[in-house]
Amino acid sequence: MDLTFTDEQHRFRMELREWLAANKPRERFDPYYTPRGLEQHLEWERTLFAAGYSAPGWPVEVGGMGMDHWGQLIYDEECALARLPERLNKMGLIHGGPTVLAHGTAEQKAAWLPGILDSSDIWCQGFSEPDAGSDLAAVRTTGRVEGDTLVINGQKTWTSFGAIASRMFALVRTDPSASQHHGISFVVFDLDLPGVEVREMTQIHGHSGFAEVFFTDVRVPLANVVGELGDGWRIAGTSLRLERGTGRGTHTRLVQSLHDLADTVRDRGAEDSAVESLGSLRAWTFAYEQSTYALTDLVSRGEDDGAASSINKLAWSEIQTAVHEAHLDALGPDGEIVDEAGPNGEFIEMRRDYWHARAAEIFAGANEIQRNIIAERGFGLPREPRG
Amino acid sequence: MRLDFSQEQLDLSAAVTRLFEGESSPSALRALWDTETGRSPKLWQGLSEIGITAIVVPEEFGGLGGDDTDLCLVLEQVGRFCVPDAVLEGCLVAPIALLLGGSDELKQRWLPGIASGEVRATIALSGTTHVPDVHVSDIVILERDGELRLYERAELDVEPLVSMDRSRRLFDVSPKPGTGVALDARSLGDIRSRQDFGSAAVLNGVGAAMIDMTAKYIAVRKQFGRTIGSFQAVKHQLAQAESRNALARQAARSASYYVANADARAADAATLARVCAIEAEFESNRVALQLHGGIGFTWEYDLHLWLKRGKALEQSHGTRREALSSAGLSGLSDRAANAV
Repeated sequence: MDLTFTDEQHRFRMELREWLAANKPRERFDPYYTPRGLEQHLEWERTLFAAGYSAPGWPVEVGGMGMDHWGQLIYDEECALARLPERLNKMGLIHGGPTVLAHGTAEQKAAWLPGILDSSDIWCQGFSEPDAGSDLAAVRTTGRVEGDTLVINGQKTWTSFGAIASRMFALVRTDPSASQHHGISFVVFDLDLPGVEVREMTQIHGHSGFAEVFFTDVRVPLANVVGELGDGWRIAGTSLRLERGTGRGTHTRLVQSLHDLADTVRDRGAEDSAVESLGSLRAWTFAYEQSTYALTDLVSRGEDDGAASSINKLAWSEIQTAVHEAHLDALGPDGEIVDEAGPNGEFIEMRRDYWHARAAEIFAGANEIQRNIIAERGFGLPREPRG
Repeated sequence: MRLDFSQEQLDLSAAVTRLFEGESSPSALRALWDTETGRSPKLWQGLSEIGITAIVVPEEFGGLGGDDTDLCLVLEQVGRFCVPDAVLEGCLVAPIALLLGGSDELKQRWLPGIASGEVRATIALSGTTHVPDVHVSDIVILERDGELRLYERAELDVEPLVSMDRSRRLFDVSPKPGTGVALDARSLGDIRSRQDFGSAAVLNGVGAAMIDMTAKYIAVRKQFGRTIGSFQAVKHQLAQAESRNALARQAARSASYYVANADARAADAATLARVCAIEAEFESNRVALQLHGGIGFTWEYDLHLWLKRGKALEQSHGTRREALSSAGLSGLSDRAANAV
């Protein structure tokens, strides 16, 4: 066991920390789906790109930083420490782009990756549908092959960044006669094509952020299919694994939320029950941090992570919710009072974060799905019979 | 960063596992309940042959000069096999107390025997009056009112207590007037850190054993024409407990590293690891009995050995609430030296 970073890793951390301190945005960003907020986020993305800091995990040949898993972890930790906003193009940088890197053709990489890197193209993920959430293989959006064209019809929903994205990677059913997990294809297309309609949705904290996307006879070149036609489920597996990932700085953000909670507990007289609950949350945050390191170590050594990423996702989302619940609890009746709000009445800061935390038990594979994976992959228990 | 254990450490763990499979099987444990000492001399002898009693003792005193990380997996196995003996006290906390707080003369006198397994030691911190395994110990170290003193057994008045866990042998001890020798109490924090991460590792082993046992049971038990482990209402409880056990295990393993390396986070990390272990085991204890159903409630079935050990350890080595409170108060104070 050796829980220290190498000198080289430490140098990279310090260099990045220094650069972020000098260059990070000074003002609080408006939400990215507002015109001013979008410009602020894009400006920041351009700054990162110009400095070569856009894509830590991508290979150097395609404009990335070529960092290994530990380098990426340090990058995420430092961005979280600097309390930077979420990456505007994370769906492209973390999910879509790496999936294309793993499974795409040379032409696809050349056509799509540069736009992700400099954020001239914002990507979104078209997986979920009204009737295909946790049961993702039930996607019904169709892609009919007509010569060298794919004609897409159907609907996607809960599409994060959908309101501002220019490009989508999506799962569509290209062979209705194949069994459920087969006959699905992974395709990338522009959202300004005729027949695409994007409707913003408002979330419970008053923010926009995800969208419904409708397709009516949208004609996409067949060459935009990534991998083989009908092999989309396997290819999406790459993206879903990347989504669970090795933490993406979540442990660092949890520590910050804990510090905020500690401030409130202290300000409110540090009652025994509040102190004990803080103690429990600190303990689980430490355990999650160390488990994130352990998973990163496992993945770095190319070992099978078994159910570890599901264990971490399940635990993290619950710990995060518990930290924010404890914060509301510590505030008592004041927790309800919105003392500060965004331009359109949307919640900001702690109250936005509270509701946002609640989403984590649902997104990136609902926790019920993670529990299935832990029980089935971790303990070899049989699947529950399905309809 | 490497968070895995070395091959030597894995081998050590495998060796104690083989020992415990024989000497600490459920039938062996039950057979010991009605014996006078409740202890099998073969078990401690086996531990000393493998070298467990010598790990943290420096080479100059006949030990192996290892560190806390070498004992982490061993302590997990102690919990997994519900080992009756006070291995945590005898192989880690007491020798460390002697090493950090004892005079050269005391160390010379006792450490070689501890390393070889001929001398058995036990310890109780924070004024705890339930001291384990006094009856088989040659020396007993007690922390009372911030003072740390070492006694030979004959210097103590000893009152046996009856534990819910029939394998545990606990004693209320009172030193006879004018007996014992003082140890340097300045290292109490470092000694307590060993007890915190070590008791966490044992609890994590207890939790893992209960969950593994439960997973095996629900994979074969059938109701409504199906194995009950296929029902999400059942398997999700198991997964929930496992996710907490897995995190708690990592917390204790990492804490053993910070403690071994006298890291600034050591004391805090050890406390936090203990909190996780208590809470994860608590949930595993609940889930294990619930998913076993009626069979788990019988004296004949072995689950209750672990259920009771878990409940005992949740409140020993400092209570659950003391651990929570200590972890919380550290969060309110200066952040610089804290783990999170």
